[in-house]
Amino acid sequence: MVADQATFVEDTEPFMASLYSTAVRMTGNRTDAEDLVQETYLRAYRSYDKFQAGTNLRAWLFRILTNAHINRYRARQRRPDETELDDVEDLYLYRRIRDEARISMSAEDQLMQYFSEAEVVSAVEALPDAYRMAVLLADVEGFSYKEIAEILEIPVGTVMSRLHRGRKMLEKALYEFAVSRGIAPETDTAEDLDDDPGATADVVDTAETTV
Amino acid sequence: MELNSQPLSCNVSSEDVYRMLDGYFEGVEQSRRQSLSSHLDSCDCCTEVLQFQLRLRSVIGSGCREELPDDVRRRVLDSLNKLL
Ligand SMILES: [Zn+2]
Repeated sequence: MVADQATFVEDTEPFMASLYSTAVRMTGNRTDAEDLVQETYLRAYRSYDKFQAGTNLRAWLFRILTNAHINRYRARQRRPDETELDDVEDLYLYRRIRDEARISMSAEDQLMQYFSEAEVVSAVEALPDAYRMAVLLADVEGFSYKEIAEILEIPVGTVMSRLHRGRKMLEKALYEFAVSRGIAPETDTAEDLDDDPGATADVVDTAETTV
Repeated sequence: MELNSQPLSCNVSSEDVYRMLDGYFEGVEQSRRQSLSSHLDSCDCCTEVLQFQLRLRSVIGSGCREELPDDVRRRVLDSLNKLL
């Protein structure tokens, strides 16, 4: 059964808030985010008869959103510097904070005190596009690997790889905020990291390694 | 996944931590999945890591969330209504 355009607004409006929120983090500003959401809704409306009713409407809308974003900003998409992450451990922040700094983290608000919302936003927005989309879809919007694979039209293995690298980069950036505020000690690995993560040219997909 | 880290002190790999965190066990044998899950039930180390990662995720989630302003919502709906 195909979806009915007459119910489009009713069906899709509940998802506008999360689409907009993701759009702000993807574009980095509210004006572009509004344009992107606007475009998403118009495209979605026009092709709503192709949507299979009963399937995942939220994921379908996010696919249109991310496609529109990628088409708009293709020129700006750069390949993340893969080698830069080679020295960064998995579970980076946990290991630094827990094992080295031995800072007690028993309550959630303690962690909250570490990082201001502005720092979280700036760390997320500093991620290369491909990593940022994976992190936003998984860790903010709660999509599964499979859903993200469908939304971004990439294999599940690539989702895992982008997510893994994106999270590492994000954790490293957050740790550096804590270091710069004197909350956490500087470590050996914290020094040789990070100049300009996106500085080395090209489109993302060619850089992808397997999982 | 190319993981370049030491396993946790209980010997669970960071790949398995991510699997548990994301609830993704495709390609993992049922028996191994069961032994991971019973290990998790009794392992303080894994519990701590997972709690840490979940807290971090919620910090990232709430930091990233942006309210949809009413006027934006209205403008999007208006432009749709013109098409209807
Ligand atoms: Zn364990």
